[in-house]
Amino acid sequence: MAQNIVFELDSNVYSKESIVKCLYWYSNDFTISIKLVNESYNVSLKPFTELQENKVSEVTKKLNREFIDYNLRDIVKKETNTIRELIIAKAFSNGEFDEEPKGDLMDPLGIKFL
Amino acid sequence: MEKDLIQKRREFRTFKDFDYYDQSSKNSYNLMPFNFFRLNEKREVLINEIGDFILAPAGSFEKIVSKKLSKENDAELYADLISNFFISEEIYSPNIDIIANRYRTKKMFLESFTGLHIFVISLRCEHTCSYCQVSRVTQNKDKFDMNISHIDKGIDLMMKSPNPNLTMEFQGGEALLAIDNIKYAIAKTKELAPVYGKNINYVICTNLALIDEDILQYCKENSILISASLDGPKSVHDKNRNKPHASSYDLAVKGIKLSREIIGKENVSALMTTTSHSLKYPIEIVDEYFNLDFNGIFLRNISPYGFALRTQKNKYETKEFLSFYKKALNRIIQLNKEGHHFTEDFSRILLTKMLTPFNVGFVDMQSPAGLINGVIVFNYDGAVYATDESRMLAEEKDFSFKLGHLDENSYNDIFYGTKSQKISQIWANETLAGCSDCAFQQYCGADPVHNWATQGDIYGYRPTSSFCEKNMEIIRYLFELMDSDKEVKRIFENWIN
Repeated sequence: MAQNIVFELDSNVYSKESIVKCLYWYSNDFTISIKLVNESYNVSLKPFTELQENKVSEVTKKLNREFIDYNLRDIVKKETNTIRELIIAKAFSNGEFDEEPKGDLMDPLGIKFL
Repeated sequence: MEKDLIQKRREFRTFKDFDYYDQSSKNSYNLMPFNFFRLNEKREVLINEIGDFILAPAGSFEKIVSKKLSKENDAELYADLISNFFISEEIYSPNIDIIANRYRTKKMFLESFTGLHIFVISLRCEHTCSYCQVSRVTQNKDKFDMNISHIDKGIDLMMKSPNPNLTMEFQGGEALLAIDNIKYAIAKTKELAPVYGKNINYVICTNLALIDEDILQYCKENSILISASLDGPKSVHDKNRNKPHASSYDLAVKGIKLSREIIGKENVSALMTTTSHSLKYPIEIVDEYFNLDFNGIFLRNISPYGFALRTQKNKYETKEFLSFYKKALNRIIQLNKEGHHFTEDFSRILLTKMLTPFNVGFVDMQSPAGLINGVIVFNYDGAVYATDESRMLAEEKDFSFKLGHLDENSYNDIFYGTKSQKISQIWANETLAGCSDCAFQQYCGADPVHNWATQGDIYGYRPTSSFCEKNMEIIRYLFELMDSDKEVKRIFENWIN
């Protein structure tokens, strides 16, 4: 009889967003519970249909890696959010966010020295 | 004096050591927006906001994000990341305007709005294909042909599109059963096009059973393209596409040859549909297209809903299609390695997005979605639908994507009305759960009609989406092929040039 799959994730390391985004992909096969206890997210996945032990071990291994992957993605997303918004704003603007290129317009390569 | 000056200039132009151009301080770097996907146990792909990618060993993403990447020890990857805008040595990348321009280029298909206008000129057909909802409608011309008034109103709406380059496509049923109405529609459109400043391509989709020299002569005179149906060799085609008392395959092949003779090879294309029967013959289907001297094939799965799946025999799992697709694609790659130029067109669309700065206005694979933005359908009865699949749903009495009616609604009602606005809230994969964090977002699209038809929800649920399963695996497979075999990468690059 397969048991629930349980993880204890440190909230100082893992963001709530990354945990939820990761577990979204498992929500068709498991009842999912996430609780914040003493600075840790206690995650529990209860299969809708009974799983063999080897399948439980396979899912646990996959999830373990995906929690880390999603957390890394979340770090990039948070660190680059402003620049991403700026890129999209500039892309869809009609030039109002464009800037003058650095340097001398008549000497774009900066080789004039006389 | 002049000699000194020349010497100074020479010194100035000499390339300095790498350190001279180093803009970083304290050997640190800043992240730019990018994502990653594990291709297999050993390799992963890093993809940035504009679809550029770097294939790298597993663990690279973790190393980069944890700021453990060393400029000295990982010099090649570091340089690739800098030059492709994955990381920046300055907090505010001096290349941000370039990235914004590249992003704008990727979304350029939005600038012109609706280009493809499908006129379902008749619902009648003389075939009884197993997967087609219209095939049994053979009688009652008045009821199942588009009337002149609706043709006129459809053309009026088409002329209101802001897009200067339009495609007017005639579909059925069998479109050629209403050839007189097609001739009327094209004559009227040709009259109005210069008034509204439109360049218009004309396409007739046909099974070719009714094609003859007169029709083809007309097509030649009016620069009309022929899009035919061909499911594979005779044993596959005739089983999928039943024509009472005749071989549909024989008529199609005869029609392709005659069409090429009269309107030119480059103006005749063919499209296949993969049924559960077809799944057993990936090599034979590819070889059929190759032997008939087509330049490529579009390996297209059956629309996984509506009439096509009313009978059990047409149902199959996405995994089965993927297995079929990979076998067929490998056969195509083999043909290319033997020196032939022969493409798989779904891959070609994806590869254009992956390997060039451009996008492809392909309705099923764009974000915002192609419905309304790229295509609109005027049905035989005057109803207006968001896509071809939407009107197929309507044949099953599901009018969820009916945007209006030619007799009742204006351009604004249809294109900017309540229903269009509702659809527009969920037509960008950048905003959808599961898609918003997907590394393949730039290559993929959103398909609310598919979501609705297969899951009963226009927002969709990615963990069980066959659209997501199919696209993600094909994109992953293309990366894996390019990563593992440099010759395949060269072949793919040739496909898009």
